[in-house]
Amino acid sequence: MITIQQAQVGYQTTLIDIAELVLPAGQIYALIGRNGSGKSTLLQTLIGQLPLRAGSMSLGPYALTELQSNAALRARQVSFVASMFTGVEALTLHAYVSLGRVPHLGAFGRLQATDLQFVDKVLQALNLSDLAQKDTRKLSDGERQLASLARAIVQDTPLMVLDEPASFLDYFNRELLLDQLLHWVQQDTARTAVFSSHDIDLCLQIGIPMLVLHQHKLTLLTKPTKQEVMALL
Amino acid sequence: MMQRSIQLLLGTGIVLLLLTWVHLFVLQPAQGANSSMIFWEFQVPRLLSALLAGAGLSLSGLLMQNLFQNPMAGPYVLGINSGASLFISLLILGAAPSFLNEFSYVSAAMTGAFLAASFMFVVSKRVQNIQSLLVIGLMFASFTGAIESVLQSFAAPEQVKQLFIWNMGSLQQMSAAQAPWLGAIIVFGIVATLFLVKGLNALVLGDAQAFQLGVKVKQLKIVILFVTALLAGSITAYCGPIAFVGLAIPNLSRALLKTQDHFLLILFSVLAGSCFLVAIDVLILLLDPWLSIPVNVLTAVIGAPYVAYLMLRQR
Amino acid sequence: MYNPATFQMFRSLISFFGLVFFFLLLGCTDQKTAAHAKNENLCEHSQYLRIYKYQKGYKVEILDPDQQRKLHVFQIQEPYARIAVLSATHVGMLSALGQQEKICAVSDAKYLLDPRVKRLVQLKRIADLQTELGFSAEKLLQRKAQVVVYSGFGNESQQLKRLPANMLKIANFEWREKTPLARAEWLLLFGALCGQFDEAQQLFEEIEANYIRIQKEVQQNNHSNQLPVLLSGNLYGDQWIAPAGQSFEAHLYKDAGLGYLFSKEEGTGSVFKSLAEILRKGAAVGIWLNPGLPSRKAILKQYPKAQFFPFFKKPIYCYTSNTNKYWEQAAAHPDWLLSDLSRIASGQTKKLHFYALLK
Repeated sequence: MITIQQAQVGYQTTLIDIAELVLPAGQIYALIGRNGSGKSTLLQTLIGQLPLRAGSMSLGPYALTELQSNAALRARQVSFVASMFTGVEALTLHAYVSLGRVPHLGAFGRLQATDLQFVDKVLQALNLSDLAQKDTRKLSDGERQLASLARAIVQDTPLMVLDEPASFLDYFNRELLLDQLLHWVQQDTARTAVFSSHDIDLCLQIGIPMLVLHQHKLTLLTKPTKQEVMALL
Repeated sequence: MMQRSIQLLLGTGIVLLLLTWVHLFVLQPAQGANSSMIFWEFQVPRLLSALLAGAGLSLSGLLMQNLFQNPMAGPYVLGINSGASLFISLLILGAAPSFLNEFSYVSAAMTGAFLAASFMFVVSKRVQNIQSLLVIGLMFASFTGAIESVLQSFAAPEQVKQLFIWNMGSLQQMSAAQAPWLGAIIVFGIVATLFLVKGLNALVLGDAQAFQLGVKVKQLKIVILFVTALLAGSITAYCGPIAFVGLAIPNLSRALLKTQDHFLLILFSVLAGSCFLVAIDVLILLLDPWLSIPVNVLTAVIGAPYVAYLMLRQR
Repeated sequence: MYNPATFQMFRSLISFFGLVFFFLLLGCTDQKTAAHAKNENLCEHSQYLRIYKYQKGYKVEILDPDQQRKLHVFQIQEPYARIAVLSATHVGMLSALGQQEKICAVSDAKYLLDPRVKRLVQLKRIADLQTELGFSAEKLLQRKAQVVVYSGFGNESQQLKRLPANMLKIANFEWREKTPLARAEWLLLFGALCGQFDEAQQLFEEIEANYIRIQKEVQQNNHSNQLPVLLSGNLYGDQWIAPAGQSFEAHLYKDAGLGYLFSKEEGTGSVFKSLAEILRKGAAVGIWLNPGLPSRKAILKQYPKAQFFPFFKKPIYCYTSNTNKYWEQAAAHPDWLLSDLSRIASGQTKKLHFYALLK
């Protein structure tokens, strides 16, 4: 659950003003807004990279300020998927996904048997097992983005934030990614996912709640229709 | 995967032992009245120089490549040696002779290395590509070289000669008394780096992702800069600037192990770096009856083409 | 060309034809060849310098040591009054002849020794060109130098190429000679340049006689077969650099009654040896010469492990008690050098010209 009160979001100037907003857990929220409306800025705030200019926010039982000061705790509460991952030389898909376990490992970064089992289970669920030993630079865009999702899943946090995770994917891969995300949220009622998107139609089709950014305001539409969304934008 | 890495580690370890044996006992057999003195004061420190400098330089290269998120980074190309060199020059040319002890040498070299690394790191934030960074490293090296020349024109001929000799780089300058110091610093560097493994692994994905994985990125980077300066600085103080090891060996390690797991990369780089420099020195000993080659010439002959190959492959 | 055998043959032929055809021709030819008869190379030792006397002056030939061809051929008819010398050795040779007034420019004046030259530099009558390799051609022209003598390092510097064609440029290969006397013979070149050839010849003959006398004394006094073994040079980085077996230094060591560790090494320049080899052979060494540093402390400062050299405990001699004197005067005074080394060979540490026992 995400709770926001009297919050001002932005770097030097306030981009978004949120009087009060509660996002119950067990849901996947699509963040919609025009270019430059502040989608990325809001996401940066959610993942703890950007402090609030004013007001307060909490993710589950933890205040945002607490998560910002405690890196280890934050990494067990919030995971993040960027819109693109270009791959790293000599880094296999398996190793990449395993990096999601970093917040749960000891100083030397050794994976325990339970960690490896967890990684294998997630890879299997996302149908990535066959690609496990492939160099991340040699994967297709779709495979790489799915791997990023797997890495976030493996991180095992209550909140997952995704910044336009599907913008570089073709239609089928988009649907696959969203399906998997939906599946992840549905597995545990404590889980919440927030992702930004331009693909309003796809979101409407899946029927998920929307956060619409417009004129420095954030509006939650729990059962959005196209007319409602278009009116706000 | 893991099995292959373990095989490679074991194999390199065995080769290193073999090379050590060849270096100490086959190519330099004991003879004459002074053989035990020669063994302990010259042969053993020479071997230790190769072992420690190889290990430390390739480890500092690995750390810098991680820090700069760039496989072409290394203590030599980014002017870290030059920073150490400049500070050693300042010390040799400027300080009173009573100041010239172990501690002052090493700390001067480390300060220089740390400042140079920090400078390059700040600069790296402002340049877009690796080529520009390498050119800036080169400029930095020639700038410190120019300052050294100016300093030398004020110095006595003996000081200039001492500096010139030191600048050539050598595995034969370190004394038996100095070896434990360098050994302690390098071992400390290796152990400290092993404690950074988790952060180093995450940093491969970039600052933002590392942050998201709970890594204190800023702190980690300062520690990396510090350990790099410790390693490169102390080796430069004892052996002079030795080129290409720091750049070539970590790249070779990644290519062979096909991993970004820094636990394995650290262990392998350390072993392979030692192996490389000891092998170079074995080659120098082998060729000795016909021609005598400075260590930096040989590292360049082998290292430079490999680095050029890496550069070409980058594009 | 004009060796005595061909000359004899030539004369007899001419005489024969002369008897039959022209009587006059004989006299004419005889007179001409007689003038040539005196014209022989006046340098006996040098490999790279030849001087011939003419009625009007001297003809000088300088050979390039690397290419065995004549690099410079020139005639000296009038003595030169303005000579630029780029090396301390050249200054020393002119000083030995008492011709300091003829110098118009030197390099590295701060290292010079000769008081008269130093005084003239102070009075600005001699220009200081700073470094030998980076001297300014312009400054040389301002000083109206007629001759410039430089060390022949193989390739001429750009500055030399900028000098006008009528300025006499002479490469000095004295440092490439294989014997100490050959080096000193370059005094004759400076004598010829200054119009002091006979005096230079006289001085050289004295030096030569002195040298040979000391050499003979050494031979007479050396009854034992055990010569003290000498090691020369020092470690530069990983390499020990020492004079090769056919260098003038090695020649000097032999003449002084010293056994030289590298006497069998080919070459006239330097040999490069690994530290391992030096350590292996070092036990036999009785004297360490020319470490290039002024004291044992300085040696240890540059290379702390020198304390473990087996020969570090043996007597160490170097010219560093007065480095400037050595570079300026040693080439022109091989007799002094030989005297020093023969004393060092017999363990005498006093009355040395250039050398001193390091403390």
